[in-house]
Amino acid sequence: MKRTLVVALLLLTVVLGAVSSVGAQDALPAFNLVVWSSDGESNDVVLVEQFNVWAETAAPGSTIELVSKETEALRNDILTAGLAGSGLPDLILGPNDAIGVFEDAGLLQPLDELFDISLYPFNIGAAQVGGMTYGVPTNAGNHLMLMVNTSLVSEIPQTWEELIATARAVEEANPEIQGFAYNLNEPFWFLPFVHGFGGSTYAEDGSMVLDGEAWVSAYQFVHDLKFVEEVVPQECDYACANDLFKEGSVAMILNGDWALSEYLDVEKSPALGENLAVAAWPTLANGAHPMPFTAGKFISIPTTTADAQLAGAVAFTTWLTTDAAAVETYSIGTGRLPAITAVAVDAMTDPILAASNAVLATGVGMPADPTLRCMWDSVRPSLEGVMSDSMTAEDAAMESQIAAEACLEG
Amino acid sequence: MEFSGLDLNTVIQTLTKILPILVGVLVGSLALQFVLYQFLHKVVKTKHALPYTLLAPAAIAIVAFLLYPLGYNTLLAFSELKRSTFPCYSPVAIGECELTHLYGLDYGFANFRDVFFRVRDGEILGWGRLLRTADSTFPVLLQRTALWTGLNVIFHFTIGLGLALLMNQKIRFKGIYRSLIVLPWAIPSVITALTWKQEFHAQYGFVNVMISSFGGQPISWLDDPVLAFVAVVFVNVWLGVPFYMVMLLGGLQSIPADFYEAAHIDGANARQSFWTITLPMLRPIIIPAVTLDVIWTFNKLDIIFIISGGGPQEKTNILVSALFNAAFGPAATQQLGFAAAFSIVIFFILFIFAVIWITSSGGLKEIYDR
Repeated sequence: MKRTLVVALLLLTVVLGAVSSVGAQDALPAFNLVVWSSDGESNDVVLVEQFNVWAETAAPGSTIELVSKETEALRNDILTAGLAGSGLPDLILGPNDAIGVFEDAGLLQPLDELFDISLYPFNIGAAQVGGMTYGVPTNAGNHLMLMVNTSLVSEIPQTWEELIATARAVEEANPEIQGFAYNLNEPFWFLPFVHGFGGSTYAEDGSMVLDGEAWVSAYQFVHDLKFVEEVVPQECDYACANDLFKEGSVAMILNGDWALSEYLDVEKSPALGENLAVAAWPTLANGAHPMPFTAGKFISIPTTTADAQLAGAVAFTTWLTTDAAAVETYSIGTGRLPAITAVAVDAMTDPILAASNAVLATGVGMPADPTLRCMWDSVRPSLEGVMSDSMTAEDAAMESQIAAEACLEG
Repeated sequence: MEFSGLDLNTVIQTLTKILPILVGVLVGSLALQFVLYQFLHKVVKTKHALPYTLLAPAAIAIVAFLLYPLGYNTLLAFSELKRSTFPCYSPVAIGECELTHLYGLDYGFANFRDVFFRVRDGEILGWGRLLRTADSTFPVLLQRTALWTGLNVIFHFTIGLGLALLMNQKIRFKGIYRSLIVLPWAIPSVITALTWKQEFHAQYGFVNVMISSFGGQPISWLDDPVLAFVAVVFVNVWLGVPFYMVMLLGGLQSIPADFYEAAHIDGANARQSFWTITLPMLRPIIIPAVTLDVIWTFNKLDIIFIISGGGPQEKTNILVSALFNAAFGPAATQQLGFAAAFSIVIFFILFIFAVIWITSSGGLKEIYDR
C-alpha cells in the first residue's frame, strides 16, 4: 500500500511536471507592452484588465503601460516620435482614419503576415491601404446613433419632425431640460446628414466633391435645426452634449458607441443606466436615414515593435479580438459590437447592441484614405459659418470645396 | 499593473523613475563642474576659472534648450519634411525615399514662398492659405495679430496704470485690493483660459447669465467671429493687467514725494503733475514693460488656442495660433518644413519690431550709458 502510494505520488509528480513544462513552453517570456490609446479612459481600464487576465497564463510577469490620449494628440505624438526615431509605443489603438496618416508616414507594419485577417470580415477593409492591412479591429462601429433618456422621452422619434416635436414637448414639461443636443460644429456629426441627402465625399472618379446639392441641403438642414426650429442649444460641443446627457439634463443626443460603456455605468451616468435607449437616426423628409460613418477602433503596430514585444503584441491582440470571453468583456462589455462573426450573433440578444447593430447597417464605411483629412478640415470652417448664421449653405459648400482643393494640392 | 489616475501609487512610481535621473543629473553636473574648474584653474590657468565654471551650466542649458532647437528649426525650414516624405527623414519609417537630397536652398525657398503665396506650376496665384480659409492668408493674419497685440497692450497699460495710481493712494484695505488684482497673475493661464471658456458659454456661462439677469438676450460669444475675438482679447487683458500694475506701482513708489510737493507749490494741478512728473519718471519702466508685453502678446498662443481654437471659421487666429494649427492642430497636414519656415518669418517680424522699438524709444539707453 505504502509502495503503491509512493508510485502514485511519483507518477503524479511526473505528470504535473510534464504539464507545467508544456505550459512553460507555450507561455511567452515576460515583456512590457506600451500602448497609446484614443479609445477613451473607461474602455482603456477594461483593456488593461484584459491584458492582466491574458498575461497571467500567456506571458506571466508581463506588464502593460497604457497611455490614454485624445485622437489629435495621438496622431501628433506618433508622428513626432516617428520623426525622432524613438519613443513609439508597441501598440496603437485608435480610429481607422489615423491609420491612413500613419501608413502614409511609413510608421506602421503591415499586418497581413502577422494576423489571420479573414477572422475580421466586417470592417477589416477600413484598415487597408493599397491592398495591405495596417490595423486589426477591436470592434465594429465607431458610429453615431440617436441616444435617448427614456425617463424623459417615452416614445423614440422616428422622423426629424417627430424629434423636434418630442424635444419641444420635453422642454415645455421640464424648462430646465434641453430636449435635444449634439456636437454642433464637428464635421463627424454633420456627415451623416450629407449621406442622408444622397451625398458623399468622393465622386465616382475618386475626386473630392464637397459642394454638391446634398451638401447644400445638409448645411441648410443643420442651420434650420438651430435657427428656424431652435431645437438645439445655441452652443454645444462634445463635452456639453455628453455631460448634460449623463446628468439627465438633455433628453436626446447623437453620440457614438464608444460612449455606451460610460452611459450604462450608473455611477458615471446616474441619470441613465437602464434609462438609456439607442435608436437609428430619425428619417429625413426624403425618407432616408442620415448615415453615420462606420469603421471601428483598430490596433496597429508601429515599425519599431520587434522581438518579444512584437510576439507579445501579436499574441495579445489576437486573443483580445478573437477569444470569445475576451470579446465578450472588452467589446460587448463596453457596449461595442464585436468585429468577429462568431460572437456577433450572440451579441444581438442585448437590446442596446441590437439597436447599435441596426444603425451600423445603415452606415457608410469610412475609408482610411489620408486625403479624408482634407474633407474634415475644409468642412469645419464652413460648418462653423453656417452654425453662426454668418454663411449661407451655398457659400459654405463652395468654400469647403475651394479649401479642399487647396488642401489636396498641398 | 493597475490602471490608475493620479493616486499615491502613480506618484510614487513616477518619482522612482524621475528621482534617479534628477540625482544623476545633479551629481553629474557637480562632477563636470569640478573637472571644468580644475581644467580652467590648473591647465588653462585663467583667473576667471570660478565665474566660467559657475556660468557653464547656464551656457549649456542655453545651447541645449535654445540654440539647438533654433538651429534644428532653421534646418527644418530648408527641408522637404512632410508626412509623405517621412521615410527620408525618420530612421524608423519604412517605404522608399524619393528625394534626391534632404536639405537644400530650393526647399527653403519653396517653404518661405509658400508662407506668403499660393503657387501652381511656378505661377503665383495669390496669397497662400496657411490653413483652410481665405482668412488664413499671411496679410490677414498679420493684420489680426497687430490688432490683437495693439488692443491688448493698450488695455493692459491704461488699466494697469489706472490701478497702479489708485493703489498708490492712501486708501483702506489696499493690501486686499492689491492681492485680488494680482490674483490672475498667480493662476496658470491655461486654467484661466479653460475657466473663461466656460464662462463665455452661450447657455451656461456666467457672462450670459449676467446679461440675462439684466434683461438682455444671451449671446453666442464663441460662435461669432467678432464676439469670439472680443472674448479672447478680454481674457488676455484680464490676465495682463496685474503685470503692469505691479511694475508701475513699483515705479510710482520710487518717485520722490518732493517732486509733487514742489510742483504743487508752483501751482501745478494733478493732471499737470501726471504729465510732467509721473509719466516721465515711469518711462524707464514703461518702455521695457511695453516691449516685453508686445513680444509676449504677439506670441501668446494658449488663450486663443484654448478658448476659440482659432475659430470660428479660423477668424480668431493670430500668426502663432495659425502656425500651431498648421503644424499640429486638427487641420495640420504635417508639413513640418513649411511650418518651420513660417515660424522663422514670425521670429523675424518680432526681431525687427524689437530692434526698431528699442532703438527709437531709447528703452535701453540707461543700461548702455552705464
